[in-house]
Amino acid sequence: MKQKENVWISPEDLGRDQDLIKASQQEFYNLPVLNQLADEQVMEEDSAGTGRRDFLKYLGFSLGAATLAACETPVRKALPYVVKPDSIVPGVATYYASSFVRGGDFCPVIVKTREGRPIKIEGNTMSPLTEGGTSARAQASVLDLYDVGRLRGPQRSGDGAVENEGWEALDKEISASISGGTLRILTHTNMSPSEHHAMELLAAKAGDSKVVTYDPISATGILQANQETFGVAAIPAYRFDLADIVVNFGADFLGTWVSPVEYANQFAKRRKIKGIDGSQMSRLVQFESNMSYTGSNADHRVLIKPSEQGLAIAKLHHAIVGGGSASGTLSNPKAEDAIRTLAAELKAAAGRSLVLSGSNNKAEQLLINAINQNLGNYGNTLSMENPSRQRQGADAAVLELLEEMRGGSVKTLLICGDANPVYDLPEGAAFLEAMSQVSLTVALTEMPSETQAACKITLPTPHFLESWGDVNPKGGHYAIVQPTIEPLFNTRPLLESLLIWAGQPATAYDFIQQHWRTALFPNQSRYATFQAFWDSTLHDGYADVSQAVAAPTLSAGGSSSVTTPANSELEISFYEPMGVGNGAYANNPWLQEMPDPVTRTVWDNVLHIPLKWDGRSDFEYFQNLNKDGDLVDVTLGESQKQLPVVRQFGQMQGTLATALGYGRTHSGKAGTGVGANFYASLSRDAGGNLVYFHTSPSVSKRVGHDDQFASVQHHHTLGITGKDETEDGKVINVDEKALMTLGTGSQGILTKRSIFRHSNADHLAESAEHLKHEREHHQHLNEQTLYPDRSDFYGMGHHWGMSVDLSACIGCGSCQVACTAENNVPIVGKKEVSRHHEMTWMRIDRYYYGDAETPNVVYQPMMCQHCDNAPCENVCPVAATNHSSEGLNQMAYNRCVGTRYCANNCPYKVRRFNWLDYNAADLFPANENDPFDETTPYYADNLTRMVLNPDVTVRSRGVIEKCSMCVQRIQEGKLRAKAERRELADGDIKTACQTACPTGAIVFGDNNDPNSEVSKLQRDVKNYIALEETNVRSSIGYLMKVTNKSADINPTEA
Amino acid sequence: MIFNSFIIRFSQVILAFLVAFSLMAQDATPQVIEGDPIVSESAPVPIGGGGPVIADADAGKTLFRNNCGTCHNKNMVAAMTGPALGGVQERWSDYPIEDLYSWIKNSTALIESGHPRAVQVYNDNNRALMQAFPNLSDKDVTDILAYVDGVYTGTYGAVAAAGAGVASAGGETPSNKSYFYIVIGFLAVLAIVLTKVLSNLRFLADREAGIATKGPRSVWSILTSKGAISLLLFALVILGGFVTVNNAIGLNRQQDYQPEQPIAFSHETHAGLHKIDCQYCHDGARRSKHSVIPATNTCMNCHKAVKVGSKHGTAEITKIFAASGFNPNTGQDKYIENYDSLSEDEIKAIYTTWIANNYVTENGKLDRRGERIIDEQWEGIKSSLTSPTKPRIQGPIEWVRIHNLPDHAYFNHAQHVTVGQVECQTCHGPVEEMEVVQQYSPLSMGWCINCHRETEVKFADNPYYTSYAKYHEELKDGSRTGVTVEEIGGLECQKCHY
Repeated sequence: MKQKENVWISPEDLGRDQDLIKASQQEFYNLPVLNQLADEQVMEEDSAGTGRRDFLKYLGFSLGAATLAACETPVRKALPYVVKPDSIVPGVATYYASSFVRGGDFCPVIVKTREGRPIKIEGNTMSPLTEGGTSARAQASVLDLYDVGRLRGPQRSGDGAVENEGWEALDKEISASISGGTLRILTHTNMSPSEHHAMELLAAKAGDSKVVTYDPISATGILQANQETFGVAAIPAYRFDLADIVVNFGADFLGTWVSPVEYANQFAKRRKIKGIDGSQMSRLVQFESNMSYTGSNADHRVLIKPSEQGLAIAKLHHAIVGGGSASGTLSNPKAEDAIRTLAAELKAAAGRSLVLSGSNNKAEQLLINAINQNLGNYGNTLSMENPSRQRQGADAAVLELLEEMRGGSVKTLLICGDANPVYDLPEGAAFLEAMSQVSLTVALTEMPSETQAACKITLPTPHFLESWGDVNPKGGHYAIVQPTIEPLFNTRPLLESLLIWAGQPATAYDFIQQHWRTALFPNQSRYATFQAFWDSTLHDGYADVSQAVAAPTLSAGGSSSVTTPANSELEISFYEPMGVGNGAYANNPWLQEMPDPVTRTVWDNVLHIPLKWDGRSDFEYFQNLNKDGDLVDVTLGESQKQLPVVRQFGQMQGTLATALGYGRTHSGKAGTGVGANFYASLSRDAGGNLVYFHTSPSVSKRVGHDDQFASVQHHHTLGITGKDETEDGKVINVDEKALMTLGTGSQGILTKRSIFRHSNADHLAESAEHLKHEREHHQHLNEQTLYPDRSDFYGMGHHWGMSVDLSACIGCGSCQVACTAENNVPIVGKKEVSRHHEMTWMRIDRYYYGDAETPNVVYQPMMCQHCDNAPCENVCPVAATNHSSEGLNQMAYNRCVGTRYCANNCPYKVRRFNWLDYNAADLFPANENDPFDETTPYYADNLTRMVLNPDVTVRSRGVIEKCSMCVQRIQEGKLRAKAERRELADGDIKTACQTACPTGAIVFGDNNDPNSEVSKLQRDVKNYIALEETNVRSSIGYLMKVTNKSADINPTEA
Repeated sequence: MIFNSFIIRFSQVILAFLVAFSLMAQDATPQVIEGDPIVSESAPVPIGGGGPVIADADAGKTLFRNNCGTCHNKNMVAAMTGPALGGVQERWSDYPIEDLYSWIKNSTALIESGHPRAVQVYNDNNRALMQAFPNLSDKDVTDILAYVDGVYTGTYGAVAAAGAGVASAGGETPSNKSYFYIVIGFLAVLAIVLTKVLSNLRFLADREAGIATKGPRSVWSILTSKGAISLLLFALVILGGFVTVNNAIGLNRQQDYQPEQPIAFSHETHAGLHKIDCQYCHDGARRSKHSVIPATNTCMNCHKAVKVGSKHGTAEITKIFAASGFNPNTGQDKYIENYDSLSEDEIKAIYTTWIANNYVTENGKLDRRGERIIDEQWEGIKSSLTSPTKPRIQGPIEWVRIHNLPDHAYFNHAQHVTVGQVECQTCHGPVEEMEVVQQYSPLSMGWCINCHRETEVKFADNPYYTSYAKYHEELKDGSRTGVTVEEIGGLECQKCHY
């Protein structure tokens, strides 16, 4: 086993930065007092907030107020239903199958409702696409429903004023404008067959009508290539679970590209291995310049500049198919070697390999098609029979529309859904200007946006949890969107608006049902009656319908118009971030506060800059920017933007990267003004396709530092190794340095901490053996214990445990958002995160190992480990945290007095302290936290509060909280079994993180049941326990991270 | 001197005891005096000879409720399914009293025998037959008639109300606190006298020993001495602390909380008299954490038929109709279709008509009293169904929540009712006897915990508990008789707090 000595989390860590070491030794990090005083804002707030006298006043008042308030209990009302719906039992959750849809994003979901209000999104395990996984975006979507910034009724804007209007008058005006005139409907990818049908009906009314579809993060290139090769403008159905080797040119298919939940589910099937048999494992090779999310999960990353991608594809094409010209050399010689090696590997795995690219260049995608065709992969690892419809946008179509608008020939422009051309097009400014040439612009959307603000009429549409809808994400796969709550505001579905203007008014439900009856029901053979077909669709959430497959035309690909390398010194690439996506999700605070998996920053977009490490302690940073969060001016053509930097391992020298989707100017509370918008800096190629890189950026020297730069990478770290001066510079664990000086050779404390274990497929047997010895050693150490043996106590009933497969965990963060939603975890805002005060119960730690130039990444979900010998429990002065007979580390909030000893004593650093009043639960506004500079905390609004889980206490200021292993779900599952008078079955209880995981990396269950999946996994040879040497007897096992690196690709690391 | 100081110590100890006693006196449980059975003087002449039979109206009340109350209005003046019973003896006064008795026991037989009064009553009531009650003894009938008469003439209600008044005030009357205060006062005087005696003795002893002193201490100087004041302060601190902690721990607890509800719903009538199962209305108890206040349509299941209450007549039941939009008027008997869009005046018209018609049915014509009643009842409906937050009459009834657990405590009814098979009354008390429901248990954590310590789990017959292998073995070999909730983790924090 090649256990690399170098495991690191950041440049500071590698360079043994003293501040970092100091900071990471403290659980509760405080800025030095001087820094805080120098921060003028803090001073201002303090003077406006609580001074000493105020404190005394408050103290006196609070005593009096508390006494008075406690004397008389308020009269509480209880309102029963007038007519109780049969399906609702107050206090019991009801679940509905539905689909999360937003533009081209799709996820089959089950919506959990309580008393008729949706509170949580779960994955739909029946769906053949995702098999129960979800994305962070799907998890967070329930919060959008209760967004206070939503549009609440139809309105008309003109001359800067906004007037509320009734539907009828507006409908009359729009119908009049449509009839006979030129109508253009602008939309992002729309997967609803019923809406498409309604648009056709509406087209009949207009003189000239066209639907213009575009996507800000476009896949036009691949659509055009497939149109040319197969006659179908669609994205192939990929089967990552059938591919032995995947070569990927910059498609972030695990995170954001097309259908990430589906792909991650497939991909993980070949990454989870049983025992030490690594032969079934697939290999992922990523060509890219920046450390993308998918790249961080790849076995190999091959660095190429953004403008060299076309050349690299051409070279691979040349090596496999032959022919074509692939002249020119790549700037990275290792890439040339890698392409040669890969060509051989791909040929050897013909039919079981997969080459794909996120390129938006038609010629490059044609080459990819040719490679896959040559390898015989069509019909095996990818196919055009049931292609994906999740990206339909045509880039050039918007340009045509823009020309028409400028020419004044467009009479009516309907802008649907999240389409926000003023913000998310390079020609945004021009589009805004051209909108004034259109006689009637109508926005049909949920939230305020840059484009909506410029439209003459705004017709709000309901959230997907409030309305009926249908989706056709892929081939013959049709899914249904079911409402789970009455519309909260005066909204109307897009479908109904279209039908009214088309002169065929119908409710969305009736129209969809009718459409399914005529268009889909005849194409299926499973159900005899439509009612049975419809009912089962509502129950399952989807229906599979046979689809006529167009015979592929199969023309030979290949053209010479691939991107030519720019040969410039600096290039910058733009990517879609995991959280806010193309910008449509920017207003969701759960997503904003979910750390980016790679940079670990929140509430901002950052500039990734490269760094070079000499292997010892010297670093060479781009522009000598030696601190994350330093501000620089980035100039791209005309525009100049200020961004904080993050020194990013795996970023190719001479390249930069930053995220799109930030810098919204018209959005809700959370989205407005976060980060900078780079859509305006995108360019187009000759065919009008968007190009997601820029070849002549210029970056200034350091112009300042973002004091609120919020990266969670150095928060709550566990176990840092450092060099010990006394012992020949040997690497030891610096956390334990103090202990070591007391006496040498005491048990276990000098061992390098066992936080994560990793191995490569070909060394797995060796690694497992090594791990076995190590664990035996830990066991031996742990026998010398002061703790009494309590196995008798824990051996009866249940003993809850969890297993996390680090090979399957891809770090997507959906578990973190699911946990936030399930357990009422508050959001704290950027400033508080920068002060280490984030509240998430679950975090995903990111570690680097291997080669510093292209390191491998381990994502480790870290939550309370529910130790049977928990060090937190015996330091609590009030016994607020203690152990249950079922092995749970319990937390009684009302008993907690906030000493924080427990958090200090937790080796895993998973306990969170409520520094402020995030829910407006206590008496004094001075304690409240207002991330959006509002007068009340985010969760204080009654609308927002509707998202809270009524079974979980909302914590107040001054108490510690942490993962409870979803004890409310455990209790619910146990109660169900008891009431049904049966034994609890494995899988009856699933934690929120487990149900959210797209790859099934998290398994929860009863460790006392030898047949449960979790206890089987914990007996696996790859299983280890984090910090096992400390004898805390944690209940959570991790399965070693296994990569499948080839010795032949990038052999530099050997 | 040693003797002296001993006496001083001793008197101090006595004082401390006194303080402690006075505290305990505050905790003395109030005793409730039961009202004496009411003896009706207007009991009919006993039949069948023997000694004088004293009619027991209280027994009559129970008998009436069990046998007659389902058909006859318990206000004795309005008709329900059966005619009003008030003044029945007068109506039968033309005939021997035995006839009335046999009529009550078996009316069908009397009708068949052609008894003129029996036939007349039969015809007056749409030829509806009354059920036979062969199990009633003459004494029972006497009791029932006494009760009927008592209610009709108002004597029973008045005496009962007075009795209830006595019972409710009973908590204070029998207090023996005053004795404690007398004893305390006596002992305090004794202590002062003893100290005075002691002081005099000391003065004498000192003078005998030739030590110059200022003279015997006055009572005032004893009371203002350092020792006495510090003792008093000490006692006050202890007392204050004790009282503060004891009361603070009970803050927000609402045992005996008995708020007035928007509708004078009687659990005594529904659960006690009519024996409606608790879970018929509170249908969440078996399957949810909430027992659930029944939806208005659950009330309507019965009240579509039972439109006039036995106690409040139309006053209370009309509120349900108004909340749910049911039109009870003759010939209607259905839900109003566009009820949500009706104005208050339209609603008023519907329900005042109903109240008026009903008044006319009961009293023959609409007089001034009737008009007052209509106004009163409509005002009652309006004030019960509207509030500052709910201006409209339509919609849910805003009941006052009686049992309030703090937000951080999780309680699940299903766990206790379905799994634990705990009777509702265990926690809620004899609800079937409560006219107005009150909180019976303290709902304090100590109360919960104590029950979990003592209650045994239904362990053996539920396969869920199979995984507790050790307990099962112990049960089998007899070393254990049962498993309490505590023993399967019922006292752990996160069983209720999460």
